[in-house]
Amino acid sequence: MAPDDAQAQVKGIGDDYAERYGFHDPTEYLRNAPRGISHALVESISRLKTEPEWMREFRRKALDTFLTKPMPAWGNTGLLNSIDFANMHYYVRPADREGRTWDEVPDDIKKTFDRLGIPEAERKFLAGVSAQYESEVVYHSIKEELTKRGVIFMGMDQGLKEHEDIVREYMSTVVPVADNKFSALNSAVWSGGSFIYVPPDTDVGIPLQAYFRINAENMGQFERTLIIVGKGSRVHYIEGCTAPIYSSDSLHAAVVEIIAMPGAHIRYTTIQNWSHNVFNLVTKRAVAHENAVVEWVDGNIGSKFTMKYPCVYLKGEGARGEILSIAFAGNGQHQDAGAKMYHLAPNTSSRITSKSISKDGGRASYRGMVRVQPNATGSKVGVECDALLLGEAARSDTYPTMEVSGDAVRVEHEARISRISEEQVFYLQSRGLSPDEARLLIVNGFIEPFTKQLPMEFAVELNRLIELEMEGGVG
Amino acid sequence: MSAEGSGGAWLEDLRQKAWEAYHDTPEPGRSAHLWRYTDPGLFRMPEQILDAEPRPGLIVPEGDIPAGIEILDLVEAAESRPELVRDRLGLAVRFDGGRLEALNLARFQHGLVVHAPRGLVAPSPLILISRLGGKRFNASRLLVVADEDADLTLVRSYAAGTREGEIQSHCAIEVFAGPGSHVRLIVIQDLQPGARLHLAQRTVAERHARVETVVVSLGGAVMKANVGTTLAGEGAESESWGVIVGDGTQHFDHHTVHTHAAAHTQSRFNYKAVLKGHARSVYTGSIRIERDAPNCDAYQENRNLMLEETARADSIPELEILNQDVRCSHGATMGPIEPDYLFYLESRGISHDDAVRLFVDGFVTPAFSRVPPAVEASLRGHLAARMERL
Repeated sequence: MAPDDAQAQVKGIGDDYAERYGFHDPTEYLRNAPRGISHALVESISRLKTEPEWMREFRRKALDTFLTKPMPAWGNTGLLNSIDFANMHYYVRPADREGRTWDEVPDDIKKTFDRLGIPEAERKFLAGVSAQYESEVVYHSIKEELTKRGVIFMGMDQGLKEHEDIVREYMSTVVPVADNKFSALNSAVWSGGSFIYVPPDTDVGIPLQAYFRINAENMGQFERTLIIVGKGSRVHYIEGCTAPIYSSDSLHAAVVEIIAMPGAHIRYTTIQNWSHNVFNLVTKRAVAHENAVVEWVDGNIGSKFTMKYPCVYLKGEGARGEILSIAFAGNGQHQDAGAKMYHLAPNTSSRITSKSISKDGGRASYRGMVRVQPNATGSKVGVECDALLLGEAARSDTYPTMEVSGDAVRVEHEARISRISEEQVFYLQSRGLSPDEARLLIVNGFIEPFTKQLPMEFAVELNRLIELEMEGGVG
Repeated sequence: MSAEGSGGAWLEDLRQKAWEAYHDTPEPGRSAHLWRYTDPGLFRMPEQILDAEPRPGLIVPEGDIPAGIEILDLVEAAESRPELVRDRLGLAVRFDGGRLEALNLARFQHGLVVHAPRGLVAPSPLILISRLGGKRFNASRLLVVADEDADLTLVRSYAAGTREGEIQSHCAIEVFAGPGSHVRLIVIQDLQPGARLHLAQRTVAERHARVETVVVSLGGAVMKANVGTTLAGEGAESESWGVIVGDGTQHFDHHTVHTHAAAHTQSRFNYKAVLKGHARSVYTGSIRIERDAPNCDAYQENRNLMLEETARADSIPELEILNQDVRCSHGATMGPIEPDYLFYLESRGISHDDAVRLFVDGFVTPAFSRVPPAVEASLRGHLAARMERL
């Protein structure tokens, strides 16, 4: 839902589109901002969204931080330094208002979603589909009973308008603006993302889903997602993304913040499938209070370069964190993904399971951080990384960091790297499978611990994606 | 490059270059991966001390020198045996590899060459001990050359000296293991309290060479070690063991680099730390399998036994695999002794403290069993003394 004055600014340029569809053709963005980032741009984003003064100030300061903060000096610095910030779009406004029902969503988007299996998901859950088209939430539906139970699930921009007090209280408390260069950038130009608030003692029951999509050349997407799960509540949020192929680089720098109140249980599932020109530099972090459980289920299939390390701050006694991730790096891709666990309270526990597949010229890196503070007695950490290498030029890295204080904790880390064994392929071939089928079966088996945690439609979709990625001669 | 026949002048040139590199290289910042957990400022040294005429330090062979093994002064050998030294010195521990590596080459006071000629099987281990004398800064350099099919065991011990306070010891060890050779190198650091040690050690293993290294880090206040092996020839094998025993406020920082640069190479790596008091052990290290090195097998393990809640361990075991024909894995653990083990021993009538001692003894055994018996006995004695008060 766009503000009135924004509507007014739009009028006269694409009038008939707005009236006929409430939506604009992707090629005719009305508010395509100029390339490059400046204070003027940030001010105008804030003005356009008619944001409160504190948010305008928040964006302004964040931009200062972004401009002064150096690029990370670790990781794939070659790729990082190749980002041409001056040549990016930082704000694109595709739609004037959010879609309310499935019927209002334009056909071309439906088609893309169709390929991803969303209609099934929609039919199955009939709830909480919030699809992001460009930088605005265009489609959004909330099952009535959720609303009745006090569950808030909406676009972040709308969240700021309708629940300013909650947003102001929690936003940026988990991921500080200055956390890293890209969280600062996101804070300056954020647009879209999800806002979820689950009141205490509420089991949401059905997964809340949102889809994100990029559809313009050189356009950055900077979603901001904030999830607050009340005491003893339970929710599963599913984010998935896909994007068509473009000719030049695109930047995606999201920030996701989760607050799990005492006894809360949240699972956040992502399957990232950006087109192979997207830089996907994402900061995802959760705070888990006493006995809360936070689970990140994180799949990285697409993008040119991903840096993403879902993180849990285990802040309350008995809190538990779990990160389950897979990464698939095909030719020309670098998946630099991992996990971070900070044990800040006694008797906290965490488990990280990471699986990666590097194929042909692809490179998959696991980069992790486990820190156990001196007061986190009785804490337990388990880290397991498995990597498969397929093809001559594939590369796999493991960079785990463990910082542990105290004698009453237990930290275990293990990693294994191997190729598909000839024996396994031979065995399957002797049962009548072709070599390609055999390899696909082995790869699917390899990621099965991940797949089986996904809702059925997603598991099917993931297997389909892996099948697509595996096409065309391996090893 | 000096002209042919000008004796050791080439060494002078090389050391001058290293001295310039030392001055041209800025002190690393804490953000540099290698110095993330140890303040590089701890190894700062006033210029006037470095500029003073270097007085030779002492490296003393203990007991007999095994028959057939050549021991030469490094500076003299540069002149008399350039064929032995020139293509090796500074090529494993390179002066462009870091500021302190440059300092060592420029300012080492005592350098030794140990040479095992072709086919020689040394009948007994060579034990080299240096005691830190009265100097605040001392630097030593050891070049080990094992020719084809030679077999050599070498113990390099940095023993406690008398001088108290913040002395610094800078040690470089370069090992060239020729084709088919077998080299065992045991490095023991047992410096006096307050001492700081920087160790730079590199081994190059050629075709079918087998290299076993053990680093035993016991003493001093701060130890920063940068140890590595390059498996340069097909079929080369490396085994690396480490034992760290820390208490009080001791700080140990071991960095290792194992590079598989040739096909069919194998490496085994296992560093273990026993930590009491406010001691801290940092382990960072990598195994790298190069693109043109198929059929490699590598294992890396780092275990940290935390005997007191004030102890701290950091571990970053890294793998970089660029070839698919590989079998590689690693593991790291940090924690106390598994209560089940202690319970088992205690249920057999062993007191709690003795059970802990027994466990620690077993914990270090895989490494200590690679050490020549006489030296192992003294290491066991040292460990027992350290474990007396739990």
